[in-house]
Amino acid sequence: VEEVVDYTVLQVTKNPGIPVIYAGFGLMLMGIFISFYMRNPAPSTKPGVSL
Amino acid sequence: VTTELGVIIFRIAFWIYLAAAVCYIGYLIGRSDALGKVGVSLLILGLLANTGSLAVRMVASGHPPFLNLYEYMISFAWGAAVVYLALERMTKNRSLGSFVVPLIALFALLACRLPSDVNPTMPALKSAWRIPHIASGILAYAAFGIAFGISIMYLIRDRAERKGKSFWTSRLPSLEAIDRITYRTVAFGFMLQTLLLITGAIWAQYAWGRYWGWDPKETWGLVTWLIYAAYLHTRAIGWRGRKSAVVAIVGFIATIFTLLGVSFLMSGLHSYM
Repeated sequence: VEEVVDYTVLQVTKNPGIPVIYAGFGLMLMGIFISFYMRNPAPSTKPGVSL
Repeated sequence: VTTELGVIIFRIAFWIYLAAAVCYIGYLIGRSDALGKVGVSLLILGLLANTGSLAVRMVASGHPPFLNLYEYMISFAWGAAVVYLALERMTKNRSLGSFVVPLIALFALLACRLPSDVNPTMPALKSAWRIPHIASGILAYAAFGIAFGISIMYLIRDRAERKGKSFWTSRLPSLEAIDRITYRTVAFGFMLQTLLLITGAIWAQYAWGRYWGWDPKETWGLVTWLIYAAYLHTRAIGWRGRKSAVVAIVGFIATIFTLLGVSFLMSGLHSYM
């Protein structure tokens, strides 16, 4: 039996783009919120019908 | 407090949901306001039992009830009941429940048939992102389920109008109202589903070292998201009524496939769920 060597594989990552990614996520949610909740919903086929 | 107790309480919740569904259908067919009131009371009672089952399970297992498909489904039934009750209150329209509450009972039945063992968390998946991920999933899919139920209602009324049958037209809200409620429900679900995908991507980055990896659950989650995005986009170019209702129905079929089909038919990193 040959000698057994213990070892660990570790990987270190650094991603300077993380704030950009999170800002993108935030913008996307904000955009959906504004377009579907802040303004009037898409006009109905008949006036006076709303939720 | 044991897991078995939680399972028994949820089984009771299922029977109450089923009774509520029967009352809601009777309310619509027989135009009986009394049955409608019994239906709401039973639905609230079922929701309380469902809440109890979630609380007992959380105490017994020591983690939020979000870890396997059984826990997800009992939470999903809970979310659907909460979102539906809020919608009924907002629209002051009980006939929606005749199409939604039977779906809630069906999902509760499905949950009862799933294995209810408590699984230990895989160490790689321990993360605070799980809670917003699954909570937004429960609410988004609940909203899509409701949009599905009321889209069916739309198609029934639409067909009845074209054939001149007054049985349905005298019992269901106007087509415009149903269409509008579906739209609002999908818009609500869509934002939460976007949050679902985002929190899932961040969690995946921490757990597996990539935001997105075309795992079957991820791919089908994206397909579902794109269908609802198409629902909203086509409304912006003027689609309404029947066409929109069909898209909402297709969207929910894709949702069910993402939620259950992928778990049972495909293997991938999400197969624990």
